Amino acid sequence: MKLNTNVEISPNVLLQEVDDETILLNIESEEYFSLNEIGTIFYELLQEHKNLEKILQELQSYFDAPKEQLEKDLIAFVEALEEKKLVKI
Amino acid sequence: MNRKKYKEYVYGYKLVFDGNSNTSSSTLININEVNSVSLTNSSYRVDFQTNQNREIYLRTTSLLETFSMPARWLFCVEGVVSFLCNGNTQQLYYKKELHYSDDLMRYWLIHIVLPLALTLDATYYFLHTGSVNINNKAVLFTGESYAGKSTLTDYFLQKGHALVSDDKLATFQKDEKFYCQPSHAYHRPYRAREDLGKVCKNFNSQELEMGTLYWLEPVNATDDISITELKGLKKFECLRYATEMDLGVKLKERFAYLTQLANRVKLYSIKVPRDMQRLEEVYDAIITHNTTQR
Repeated sequence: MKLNTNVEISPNVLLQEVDDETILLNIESEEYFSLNEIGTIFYELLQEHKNLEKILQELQSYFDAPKEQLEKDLIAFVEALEEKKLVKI
Repeated sequence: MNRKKYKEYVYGYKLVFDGNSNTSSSTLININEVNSVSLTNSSYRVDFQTNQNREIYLRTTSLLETFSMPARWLFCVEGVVSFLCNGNTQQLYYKKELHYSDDLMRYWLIHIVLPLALTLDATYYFLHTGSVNINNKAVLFTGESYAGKSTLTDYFLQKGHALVSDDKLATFQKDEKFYCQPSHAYHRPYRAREDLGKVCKNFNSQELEMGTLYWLEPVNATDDISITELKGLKKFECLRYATEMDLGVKLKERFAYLTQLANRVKLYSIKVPRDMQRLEEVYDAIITHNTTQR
C-alpha cells in the first residue's frame, strides 16, 4: 500500500466507547472489534483525513517515533481494517 | 382453565383473555379471539428458527428495517394459532387453527409473541438470561447453550430467592439506570417443547434495578471457581450473545443501548465446575461477590 492512497471508513461501521476501548461494529457482518488507545488515534485521524500521507504528518506530531516506524504501523493498521471490511481503499 | 375469568401477569402487563376490550390501562393487554386474521400488503415475512418443531413466522406490511409503531403485523404458528396486531400492542387478536389448544396459545403468546410485540414497539430490550432477586436487585445469569443458566437459576430459587426471569428478561433504561421487568411466574429447569414450565410461587412481581450480570463459563468438575470482571469488547461479546429477540434490524439503536448497558452495569465471568455437588460453592461465591460489590 502506498502513502498517496485514499482511505474511506465504511458507512457500515458504527463506533462507541466502553472502558477506555473504542468498539467498532460492522453492521453488515454484525461483528464487533476493539481498538486500543493508539488504534483509536489512528482511527480518528482516518475519520478526519482520508489521505495516508496527511495522516502520517499528523501522527508525527502525536508520537515521538521515527517516521518509517509510524508509516509501517499506519499501513499495517489500515490493511487490518481493510481485511475486516471496516474501510474502503 | 376458564379463559373468561383468566388473568395473567407477564412482562409487567396484565393479560386479559377474551375480556372486555373497552377496558384500558397502560399496563393491560387484551387478547381477543376473532374468526379471521388478515393483513393486506403483508409482503414481508421473517421466519423464526425454533427447536419446537413448528413453522413460525412474522408478517409485516413494511420492511423491519423501517418498521415503527403503530404498525400492523401478523405472527403465525403454522396449524396452531395466528396473532394479529392492528397497531396497538395492548390489543391483540388471535385465530384458532386446526391444532389449537388454550395451552399452546398461552405458550406461544408468552414465549414469543409478547416479547416480539414489546420489542417491536420499543418498550423493552430482551436478554436471554435467567435472573433472580439478590439484595433487591436483579442478578442475571447468561452463557452459551448448556452453560447451566436454568440449573443455577433453579438453585437460587431453592435457596429462597425470588424469580425474576426464567429465560427472557425484559430490560429498559430509565434516567441513568437499567431496570428489569420480571417475566412470568413460570420456571422450566428442564428441556421440553411447547412447555412454559412449572409455576413458581416465589415470583418477583415488581420491576427491579439491574444488578450484576454473570457470564457462566463451564469448567471441569474439579477446577476452581473464580470470578473475573469483563471489560470492553468482552462485554459486547457477552451482551450480543445474550440478546433474545434478535431481528437483525435497528442495529444502531441496539449498539447504543448495549453501550449504555456495558458502561453502567458490571459484567463478570464466573467459572462454574460441571458438578451438581458443587452448586452450593458457586452459590456462595456469587452471594459473597454480590455482597462485597454493594
